[in-house]
Amino acid sequence: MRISTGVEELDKMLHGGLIPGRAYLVKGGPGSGKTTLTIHFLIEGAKKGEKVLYVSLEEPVDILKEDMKKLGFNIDVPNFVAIDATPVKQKRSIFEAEHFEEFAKDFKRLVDAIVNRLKGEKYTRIVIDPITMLRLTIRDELEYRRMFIGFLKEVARYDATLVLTSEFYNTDIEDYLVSGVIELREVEEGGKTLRGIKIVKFRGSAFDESLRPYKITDEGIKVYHKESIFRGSDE
Amino acid sequence: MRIGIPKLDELLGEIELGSTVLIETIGEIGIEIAIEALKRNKEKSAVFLTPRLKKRLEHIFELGEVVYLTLGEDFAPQELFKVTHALRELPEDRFIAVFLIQPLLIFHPSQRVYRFFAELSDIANARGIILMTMIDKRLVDERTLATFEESATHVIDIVEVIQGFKIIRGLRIKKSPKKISGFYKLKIKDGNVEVGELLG
Repeated sequence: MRISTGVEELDKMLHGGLIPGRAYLVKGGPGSGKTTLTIHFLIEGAKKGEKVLYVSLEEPVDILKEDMKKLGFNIDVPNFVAIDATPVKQKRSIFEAEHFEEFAKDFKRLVDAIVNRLKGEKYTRIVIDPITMLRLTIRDELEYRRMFIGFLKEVARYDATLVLTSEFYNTDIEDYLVSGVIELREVEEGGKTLRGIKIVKFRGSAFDESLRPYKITDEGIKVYHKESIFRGSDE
Repeated sequence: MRIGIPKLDELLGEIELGSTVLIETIGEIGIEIAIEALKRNKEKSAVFLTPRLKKRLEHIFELGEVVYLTLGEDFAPQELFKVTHALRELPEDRFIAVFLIQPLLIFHPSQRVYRFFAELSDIANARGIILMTMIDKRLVDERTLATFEESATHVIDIVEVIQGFKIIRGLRIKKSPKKISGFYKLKIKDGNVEVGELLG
């Protein structure tokens, strides 16, 4: 059984979609469409009546809502729960007796809060955007690894599919521990940015290993799953 | 498909769906061959071209008779994937694609252009589209030209010999499932093409 990423052509690259109940990592630079891709994923679930959870650790949810509206995504629906855990936010939102903004500073508190949520309600899809902030909260690599594995195990118990986003740098621990990694790459060509999407890891399934072009359009992400980017490492 | 130039059609025979016709030329000599093919098959054709050529063709064809996909409007020169995608997604009733985008040969390294051309040729073959393209021989080396020829099913070679102030133009079929030929005289006057007597 597979679940859709919300981007039909990416599902084809994944030979049918993601394997549910597992964790995935979407990596990319600023403006590469990481957030948009995860919103595609969550909206797809919400459209099917699933309850979905989005935890923002960087972009305020109000701005996200505005941006997503421009792409035709309405995330202001009851079964789409968006949590603003950005550290710069005023302390005004309470979630399980925690201030959301504290989550970005403490991985354990975030994990506990999400697990508490999962205990109370059935969420099928969870996004943490981005994980980069949390990585910075634990200096000891072994401790971070232990915490991260524990988090993945907890989420797996509730059959939720977890998608994390991250910048490109320093993600070897996450790369290793998640079931799949999707990279959003950018190359400069004659003053124009060409974007390419590549699945670099997908445990338990065959997948399209090629770098495929994609564009961020007025309707979200469009992947050209049969085409080549004709550039750079693709050559 | 037949191009609509009697002697050339006789030399090439019927061009089957899925074929790739490569016209090797100097500059735009012989573009009239592609235009003639478009005139004869306008309701079935799509043409990938530069804005300059689009202006020229718009004087010949009524709007909508030919589908235009224009460099700089429908795709940037960097976005070769949009061209392959457009060819793949051509409407079913458009099974002739004419490719007149020489600037791409200058914009991209020859290896990339070859990969791109091979991809176009494969798509044309898989979708049953006749692909006709022109290449300026001066823009590619012999090795690259050979790789282009390898991907094509038909190759029309146009040459120009200047003797003093006299220009002699010739055309030959360099590759074809039917047969290859020697050089024939190529006459172009007022936009009309005529393939004349055997040269040499």
